[in-house]
Amino acid sequence: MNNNIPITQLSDELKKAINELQVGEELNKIGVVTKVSDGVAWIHGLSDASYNEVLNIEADDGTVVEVLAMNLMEDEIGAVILGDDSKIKAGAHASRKNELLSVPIGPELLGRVVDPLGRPLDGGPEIVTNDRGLVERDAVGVMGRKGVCEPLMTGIMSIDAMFPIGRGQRELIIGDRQTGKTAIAIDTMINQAKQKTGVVNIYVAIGQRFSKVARLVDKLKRAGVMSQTIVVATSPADPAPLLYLAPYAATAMGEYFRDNSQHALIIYDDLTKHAVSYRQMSLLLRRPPGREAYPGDVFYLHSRLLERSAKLSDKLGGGSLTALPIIETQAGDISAYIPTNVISITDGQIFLETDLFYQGIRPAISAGLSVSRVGGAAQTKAIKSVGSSLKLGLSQFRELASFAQFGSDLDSATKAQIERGQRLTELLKQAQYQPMNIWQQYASIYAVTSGDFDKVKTAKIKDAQSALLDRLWLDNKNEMQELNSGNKPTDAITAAIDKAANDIAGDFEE
Amino acid sequence: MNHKLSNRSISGYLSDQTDASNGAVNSSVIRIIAAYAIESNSIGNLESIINDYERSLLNKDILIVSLVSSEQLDDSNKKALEDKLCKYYNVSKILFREIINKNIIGGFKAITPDAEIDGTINKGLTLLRRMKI
Repeated sequence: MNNNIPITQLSDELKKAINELQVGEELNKIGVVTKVSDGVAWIHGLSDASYNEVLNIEADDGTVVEVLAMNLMEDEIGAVILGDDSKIKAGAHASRKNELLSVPIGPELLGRVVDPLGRPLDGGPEIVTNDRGLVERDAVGVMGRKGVCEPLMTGIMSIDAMFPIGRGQRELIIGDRQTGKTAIAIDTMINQAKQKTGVVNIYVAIGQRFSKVARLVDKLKRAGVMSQTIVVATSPADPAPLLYLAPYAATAMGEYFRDNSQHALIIYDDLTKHAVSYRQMSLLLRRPPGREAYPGDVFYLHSRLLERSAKLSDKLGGGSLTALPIIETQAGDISAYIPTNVISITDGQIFLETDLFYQGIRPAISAGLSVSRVGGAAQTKAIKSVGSSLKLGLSQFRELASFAQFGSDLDSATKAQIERGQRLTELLKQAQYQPMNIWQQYASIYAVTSGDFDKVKTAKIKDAQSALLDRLWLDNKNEMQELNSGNKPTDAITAAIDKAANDIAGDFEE
Repeated sequence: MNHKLSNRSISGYLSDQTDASNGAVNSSVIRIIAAYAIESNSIGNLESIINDYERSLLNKDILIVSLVSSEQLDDSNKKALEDKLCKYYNVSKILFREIINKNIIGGFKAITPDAEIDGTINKGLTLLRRMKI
């Protein structure tokens, strides 16, 4: 059999193809990869590509690798590689995708562990969503926002009482390594499920070891939180662009819930690593280094990210996105470059101290350096009514604490204040994964600040608290359920707590 | 101060020195560019400079097209393609750089300074393979 096509016939076929050619439609703008190094591709051509646009580079084997145009220069484009950089070679052709980077968004992501591009990492099926959200998106304007007015309970007594967080707030969690920063974030997520608040959790692991992420996912599953949680994970082995994109992609996922009148909580763990990955990327893109070799726009990097967390106006549905960014400090230095940046961007910070942590005061929250700038407006009336006396008691205690060692020389009133401060400090210790609801927090704080527990030994305060909560739930369940709504407690409720606390105090007297 | 010129400036200069009637450049200009490339340690950029130069020739009403095919295209085919490209790019002169490449199996590929039309069988097979993946 002769398979040869006569050359005349081939020419006719070509002529036909040329005549049918629609140049405008079939002409693909192309650029050429001139260099590839360290996750960055330099492309010559494509002069009409826009910033943050996705470009496709065709590898030798026909597969397409996506890159993100980050540096638009006179002669070339610097693009960070989002796929397998080993497939890209100098000379490969690049073309525009004519779209900005987007990720899948929607309820289909709940319960899943994904990478910053929305690809599953949990071994589950491919995620198919109806919508996609832009990774880089403008924050909501002034008129689209509303003041923070609804509480986001963390379940951690010291935070909810002294540094309350409202829905739509950005509250920084800052501290050295191993001081319990992630633990606070996990407890807050668990509390959303325990209190059935309906708040969706989004946890962004930036350059975290996957073993740690796996443990966290396991913990969330066991606590029954995973079904309302999305985990966006990147490991230290991932290229810097993926680490850089992770918080933006996760925010796009959170914005879906915010814009659909729901409430979401997003935890960025942690933005220090994010800044480091951005520094690496910027240096590879040959952007000029500034302080600590960070690029000049490292403030904008985080400000534009955190500005997307907001409480929306009623006109826009009243949804919210609350952000808990985490920053790791070195030797407690909160005046370093990135910590000061993020402190100034957020609406307050929870500062965790290593000394407190090793003294056994956990969560190791520094009452002096922590603050919540807007959360007070969102605090429940019940907690607010005891929060002020708690803060007063603790600040008086801090002032007088230095005299504690000369206890015998102090008058009885000062001594009583110091002892109450010690009891309060003891009371605020809280085990991990045991978030408390409103009535438990109110009753515990009230019992100490009202003086009901003044006779209880400091070391026994947690036992007394536990006994009090058991007794109240047993004898006054209806009243406690009413208190749990967050309204200011009635006289009958406080009387019931007083009675139970006084009874129990007798059992734990000094 | 040793100020490095951008590729675009060099290609703009080359374009200015090009005779629009026949698309030719004086050999002394080429020697100047070559000397500059050696002096500024940018020999690696020459390909990009040439590409930019070809693009800037569009302003001189000239389009340079690399035409890749597995067999030599006959004149009537080239003329048909020339007409289409002239109309699209709004130029009066097209200079073809013909390349025979058996690897494309069949069809043709026209590469302009900023774009390409890939009508090769090889490309069709690649697209099929990608769809299968």
